[in-house]
Amino acid sequence: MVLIYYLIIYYNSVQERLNNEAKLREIIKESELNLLKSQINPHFLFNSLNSISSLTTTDAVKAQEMIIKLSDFLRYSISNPGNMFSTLGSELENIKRYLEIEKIRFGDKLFFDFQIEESCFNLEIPVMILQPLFENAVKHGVYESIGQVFVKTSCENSGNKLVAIIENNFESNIKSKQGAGIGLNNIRERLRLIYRNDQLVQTAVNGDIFQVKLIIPQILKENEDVERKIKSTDY
Amino acid sequence: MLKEKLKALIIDDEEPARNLIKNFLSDYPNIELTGEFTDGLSGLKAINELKPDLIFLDIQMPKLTGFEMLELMELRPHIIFTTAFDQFAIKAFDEHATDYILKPFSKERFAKAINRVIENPENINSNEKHIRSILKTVNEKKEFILRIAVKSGTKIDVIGVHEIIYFEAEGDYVMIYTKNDCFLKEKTMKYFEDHLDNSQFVRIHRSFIVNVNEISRLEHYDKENYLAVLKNQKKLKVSSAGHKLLKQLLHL
Repeated sequence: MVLIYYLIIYYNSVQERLNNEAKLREIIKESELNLLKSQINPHFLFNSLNSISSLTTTDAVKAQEMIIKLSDFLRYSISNPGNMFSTLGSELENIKRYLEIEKIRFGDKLFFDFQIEESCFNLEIPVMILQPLFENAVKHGVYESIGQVFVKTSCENSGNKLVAIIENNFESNIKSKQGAGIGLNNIRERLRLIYRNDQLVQTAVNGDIFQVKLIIPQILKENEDVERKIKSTDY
Repeated sequence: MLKEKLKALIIDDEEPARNLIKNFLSDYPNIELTGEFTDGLSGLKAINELKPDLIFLDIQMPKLTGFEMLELMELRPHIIFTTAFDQFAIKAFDEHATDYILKPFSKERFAKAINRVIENPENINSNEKHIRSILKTVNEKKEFILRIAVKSGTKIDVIGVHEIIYFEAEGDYVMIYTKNDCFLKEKTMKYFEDHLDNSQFVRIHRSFIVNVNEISRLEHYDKENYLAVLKNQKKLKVSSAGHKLLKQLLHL
């Protein structure tokens, strides 16, 4: 009798565990889906597709170029979230794609340039960490302006840190800048989780110029560490 | 069926989007494109001046959004709303059975919207009551208002709420006072009370909402009666309920 009792309890606990695992799997699937959704900016996507639709009637060659650019951009954006890091070079390549697509929508309203120190291209950076900054520059700069908006990006290799500065001018329109705040906080939080430092995102406003400074510590690789140790014991 | 030519305007800040509409419109010889505008402010001025029959209106635009424009439009042309993905706007449109087209739209979808306008002059999108109800829905869902589009004669302005000193009830309207000016707005005091940041704007009286940053001091002049003296020396009545709110907010 006792045996049967224990068997029943055991069976119930197994069932419970199976149910929990099924629930967990559902939660994971949903969060993966949400992650995917959050990596795609629908406003950007549908407006870009509209621009392509328009280009097919005025400049088919440009339309095709834009399709490829958009496709490459999306492919990179939703690529394996398991890879936490990318190189600055790859990130900037994707940013360039993004800005070139936006330039087709906004023409002379948007100008951009990059001043990147040569040694920075191979430095490590969390994947897609820069994208929200450029989306902000477009959203709060270009979307709200009648005049031209310049987006200037500079990167320098400062010891064991990659310092990236993104600047854009804007027209004061008193529209909610809350969106920018949320985007920046997400980046700050992500960097805090990776590097255990909450001082890696700094913003500044100088007149009509908004500047974001991102500091990405370069985690030294294992043998480099050993090398340094050896060097430091030299007399 | 309308026999005369319809005058149309395109209001959209993206050139490829405008070009596409122009391209699709070339199939309609009885619709004449009389202008293109790239921001809400110039678009609104054009609508009030040129008095078009039909407008293609994008919701998201510099200076004034499509909805802010609707509030200040002096006439009700036929409107074909366009948007890529404004879930907020789409929800408001769906709630009121408004016709809108989603970018990117096909020639057929475009044709359907145009034919609705041509075949039905009493098109729902041009109906005043209908537009008012859309605006009501849109405004209800707003977070804190940060700017207000106002009209002063023929001049249209956008004022930031931080520029506002106080609001005063004027019958069905509200008078908005800034440092050097005042503007009449066709909204209720309750609307502003509900949609302004309560830590900055307090309904101190049935007739007044004040920007607390503009209060110089409170004067007690009767049993339950107070006056708020503003930095510009103006004095506003404060009710006992209003006084309670101020006390809480300003830790008096």
